[in-house]
Amino acid sequence: MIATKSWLRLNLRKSRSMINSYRFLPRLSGLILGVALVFLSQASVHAADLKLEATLVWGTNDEKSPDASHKPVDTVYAKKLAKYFKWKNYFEVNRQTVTIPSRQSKRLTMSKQCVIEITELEGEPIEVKLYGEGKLLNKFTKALTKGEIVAIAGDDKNESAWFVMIKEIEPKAEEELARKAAGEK
Amino acid sequence: MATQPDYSKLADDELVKASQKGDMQAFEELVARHRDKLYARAYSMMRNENEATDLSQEAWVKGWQRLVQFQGDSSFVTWMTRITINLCLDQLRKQKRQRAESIEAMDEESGGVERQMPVVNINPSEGLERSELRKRIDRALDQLSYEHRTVLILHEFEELEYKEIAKRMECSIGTIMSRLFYARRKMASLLASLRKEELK
Amino acid sequence: MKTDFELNVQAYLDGELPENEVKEVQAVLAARLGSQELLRELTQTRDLLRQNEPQAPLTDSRDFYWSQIRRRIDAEEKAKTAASQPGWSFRRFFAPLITGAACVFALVVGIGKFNSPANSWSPVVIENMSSETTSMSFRSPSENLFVVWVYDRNEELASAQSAEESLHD
Repeated sequence: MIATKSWLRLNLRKSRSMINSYRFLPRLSGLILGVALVFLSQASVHAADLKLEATLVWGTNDEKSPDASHKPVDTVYAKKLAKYFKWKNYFEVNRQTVTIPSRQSKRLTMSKQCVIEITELEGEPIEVKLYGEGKLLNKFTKALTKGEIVAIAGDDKNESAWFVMIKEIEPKAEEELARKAAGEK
Repeated sequence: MATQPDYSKLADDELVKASQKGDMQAFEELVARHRDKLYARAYSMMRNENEATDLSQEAWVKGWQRLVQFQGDSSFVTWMTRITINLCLDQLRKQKRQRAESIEAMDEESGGVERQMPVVNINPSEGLERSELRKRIDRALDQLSYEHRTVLILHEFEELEYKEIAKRMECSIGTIMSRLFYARRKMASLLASLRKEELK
Repeated sequence: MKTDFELNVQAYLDGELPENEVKEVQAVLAARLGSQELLRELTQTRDLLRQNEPQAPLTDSRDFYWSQIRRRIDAEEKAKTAASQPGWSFRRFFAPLITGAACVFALVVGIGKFNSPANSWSPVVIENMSSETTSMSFRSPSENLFVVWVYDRNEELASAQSAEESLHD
């Protein structure tokens, strides 16, 4: 694991190709553009809107959560967290999906004490703000790469911990989520 | 050198006039004054803090864009509240398309649930602090379907007429009357049962 | 099933009953105890709600809430300005040149990004916004996981040790 602490302010503005005049291109330019778009769509993490899933996870050594509605977190998260953190069990407290329009923010109330605000910055970076009981505690900006999970976490009472896990929803995963949600109802 | 006016001392109509000329600080003062009311209205309809924040902010953005259309026929806050309500109704319609109807709502349409509701003397305000009473009403509102809650909010809190509510909810006046009747009776029943539980 | 009369009682309460029906409803109300009770219940409910609308305070600070609105206004105005440019003659003469350059740029950027590994290093900016808390960050390239750990500044030393202990490779 690599521990870092950085105070650099970096503005990762990337320009976007303007393709409004697509219709007016000669055929060769159109072919080049088509090829370019294939690469960009494969490589680029962010479309105009950013679809994210945020999950509040509670880490504890207790066998069960006192709240019966909390179920064990999914195996992907459980494996990642168990690999690096000391707690025996991880429970999903709240899960939300959100679509953030380009260069806008959305606020997610994960619990009464924990609110996060995510801003889609131009290009790959997102900004995540953590509010504890209404007060802004922490802010970080990071590029969200494909398949990456970004989390903000901290200690909770009784030697437990909380984690807010954020990841981008891929189109196929989105269909799977919708199927799961329909099954849960 | 011209000094900045103290916006906090200006009346709403003066702030609106200044905003219509492009004075964003004047508009910010209007936002500060009335944001709680708009947020509360959005929250009462959406029952979700994030959505209420999002929609109330969107309402302010639309208010800024449409300021030239505001003629002063109603108060500025009433005008903004209408924008907020319309945005919430649009969002609720979108969500309805994605959501299965609750059994309660289906039962209501056939009149089944009401037959079981005896007339009650609700009077739950005895010995209660206002804040506690408001919380109870809020809990009871939460148990209504979105159609019933919306009609109740628009009629009781916004004091719109049946015709106006029907237009905004895109249904007939008869449907509005039925929903309002059901919503009121259901609230009475819920508030009476909350009171009974207190006395146990 | 609710009857038309019950709905008329409600409409009478709300002042929505046509004038020619008001007297008829009043006559029935005077005669039928059950209808009077229904009217009383509806009146109580209406008055209770109107006098005790639930409050929903907004917890965001003035500045924060306004900053969100301002950002949206600016974004919409920028979008409108972009949409209104440029004129037909500009597009006709300069579009192929600009678009050709854009194609090449998009191709270069796209290939570059396509070839870059998913876990390549990207800068992170972390700011502690409260005097009471501080943070440290962890990254696992193998698990594609990045964590910002926020803790009480007063317990900084103890927490740093705890965080280190809570990790195991």
